Amino acid sequence: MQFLQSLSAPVSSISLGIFRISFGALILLSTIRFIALGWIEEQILQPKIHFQYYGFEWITVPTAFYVYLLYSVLILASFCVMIGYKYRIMSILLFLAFTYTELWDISYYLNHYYAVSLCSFLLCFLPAHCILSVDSTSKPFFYQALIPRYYILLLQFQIAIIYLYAGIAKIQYDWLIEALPLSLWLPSHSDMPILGNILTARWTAYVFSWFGMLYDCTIPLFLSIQTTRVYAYIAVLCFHTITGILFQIGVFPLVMIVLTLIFFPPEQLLHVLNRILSVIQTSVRVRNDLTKSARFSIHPFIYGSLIAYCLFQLLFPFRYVLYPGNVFWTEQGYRFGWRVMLIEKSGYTQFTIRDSLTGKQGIIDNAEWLTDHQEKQMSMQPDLILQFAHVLASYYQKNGYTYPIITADSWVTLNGRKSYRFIDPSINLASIKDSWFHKEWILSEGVSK
Amino acid sequence: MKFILAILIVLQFSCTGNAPSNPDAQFDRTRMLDFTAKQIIIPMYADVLSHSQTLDSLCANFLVQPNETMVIEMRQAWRSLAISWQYCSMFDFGPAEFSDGTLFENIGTYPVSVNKILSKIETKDTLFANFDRDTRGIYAIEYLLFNDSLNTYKLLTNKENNNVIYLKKLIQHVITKVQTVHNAWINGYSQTFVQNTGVQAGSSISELYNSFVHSYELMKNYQCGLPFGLKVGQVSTEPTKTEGFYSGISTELLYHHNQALLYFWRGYARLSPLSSLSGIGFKDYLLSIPTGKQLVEDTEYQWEQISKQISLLDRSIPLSVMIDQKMPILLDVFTELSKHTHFLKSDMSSLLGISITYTSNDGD
Repeated sequence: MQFLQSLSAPVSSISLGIFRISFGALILLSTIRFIALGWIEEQILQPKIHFQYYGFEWITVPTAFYVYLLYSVLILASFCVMIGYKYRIMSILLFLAFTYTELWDISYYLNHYYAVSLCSFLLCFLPAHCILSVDSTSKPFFYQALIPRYYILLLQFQIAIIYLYAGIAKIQYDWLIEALPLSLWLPSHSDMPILGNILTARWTAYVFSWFGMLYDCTIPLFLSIQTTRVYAYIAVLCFHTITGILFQIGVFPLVMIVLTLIFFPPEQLLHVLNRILSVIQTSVRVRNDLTKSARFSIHPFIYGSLIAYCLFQLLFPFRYVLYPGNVFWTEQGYRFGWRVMLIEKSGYTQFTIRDSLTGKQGIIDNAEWLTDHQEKQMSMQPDLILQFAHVLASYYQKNGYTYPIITADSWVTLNGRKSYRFIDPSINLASIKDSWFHKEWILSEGVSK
Repeated sequence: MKFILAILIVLQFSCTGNAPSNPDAQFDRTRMLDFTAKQIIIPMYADVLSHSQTLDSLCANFLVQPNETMVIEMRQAWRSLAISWQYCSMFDFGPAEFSDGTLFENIGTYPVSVNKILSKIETKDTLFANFDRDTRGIYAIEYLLFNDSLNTYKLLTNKENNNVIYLKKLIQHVITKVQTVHNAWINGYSQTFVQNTGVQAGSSISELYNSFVHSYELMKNYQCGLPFGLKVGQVSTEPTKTEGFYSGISTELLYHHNQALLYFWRGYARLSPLSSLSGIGFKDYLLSIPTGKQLVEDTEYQWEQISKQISLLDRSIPLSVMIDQKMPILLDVFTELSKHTHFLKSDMSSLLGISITYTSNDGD
């Protein structure tokens, strides 16, 4: 009971308001960047085929007009969320538009896109426009100086899970004992001024590996403790800036720098916000309105939903334990598990199609079907290999191969080790249905040379 | 914060104070890029250019005073050009990327379309400002010089010299394209290339690597797979789709293409007075990585198998003839080439941390 009360204790809504503004700005910026870099054409419109999410095969890429329309909606929605205008509808639009575009091609799956989808989902339920928004200014009805604490805790929980699980995933032999893959990645930056020499040293990879693991495992805690918070956030800034410089990870560092703001108490955020306002020489200042009081309670349905959501977040990333074999090799249960920058994996897969009726056979040139990026992703992920085999089977069934048998000559290298055969070459992939069950046709690393 | 500062200070101190614990890891990419630009790429473009110019002047002479001997000389010049091109075609990036396609697409496309070439000759269409890449380039020249070899002289000289005029225009088009690329390399691009020492998408190492792997795949899939009838959808072998079909030097070209890729991987400069010992290539780069030795051994072993299979082919007999007579040997070549692909295409990029896409994207 006491726990429930502490969850619904009133706290200032400033944190939520600032989180909403920064989150909206982040999506706005990253969407504009996505368009400006020409990625709509390159990643969405140009590829001949797209790899679909299991269970979401009904989501397909529409014509160019609708793709651009959806991105325009995303820009509009993120802008409106940022300023807090028509927030209720716009936050839902933001979640739907962003997630819909992510579901077009699984070969572009990224953990931080998933993180953004989850946060935008949560924002649909939170009254983040209750302060510092057009809505709350124009319609005082929306204004709310206080909110129940669990609104903030929920977002903090989500961010903490991302870090903690990314840290737990690093507690494994390759990462800690072999300093892999960092000992492969870091020396490639030997050309960097000053840092170049450091990055080539083997022990640097160990320092980065151990520090990375400790950072991920502990940063939510240090961000939560008042005395360490500022230092922890400086560490967040440094860590993500360094990884942003060293690796090609796009807006990911910015995403985490923005999302972690939710750990700050309203007073501190207000202080910084007013500083910014004074620097840009406006007379506007924001005050923490503590004159009002409020009592909140949690409806059992909401309480149940919260527990269900949190349990899902806690358990889903661990589904990999239900599959035999090394998750980094088989990638069964790999996605949606916050395994970020964790392995160096690459593969090559060549498909052969044979007509069981006529015996006619031929080799597929992947480049005729896939972009470089798609081929790279497909070659090392079993479910994508299977999906591509099905695309080929259904195409060639209509084009000269009545009973197509598709086999794969597939080789994968994990963390710089020797390549091994990845897929059982005798298996007819066309006859296999994808499912949640273990894919027995994935060979173990090192089994077949 | 203090902790981070302390780490950075320690790092900086140990960097300046001691040698890195793994000195091998400090591979000098600048040296490799410099060597590749100055000793391999620029000399190869110059070589292709010079062979094209030789062919051009022979063709100019032929226009003025045609005779049968000059046809033989032009053919010889073409052979040298086509062989030289095998050593150059893999550097299809940077200045080789034109708005109307890459240099390879413009001058290296095969098989050519005979019907389209004949129609262009008929209509005297020599603008080449279109996407009919199978009507121009080295292999369109080959068609005019070697097709119907007993009557080439007649063909070139009849119909108001239409054929030879088209031939001249083809050669000039090759020269213009190659010269543009060569000029760019010697006038600044090589500096840009050498200075861009990263491994991310768009870096020189990444461009080189991707272009090299692409060239290897072209050798496997198009110099071999397609004419051997191994591609999906093919109902039989297609000997006419061999590179160098009309001249009959397809086996020679395959041999040289394989040599070119191997030389480049090992860091050999074919045309440079520098010995192979002073060269530097991807092999050296891999050897600088602690776990690279194994991959180098595997790659060398497999390349030996490929070279052994190719050396079993009589280079004076074209692939198109062997397709009919010695298919099992050709299939052995293809099998060995296939076994090799993953060493180059995935293992190497993984170990060296090279981006295998041409453009960047988000990551995490």
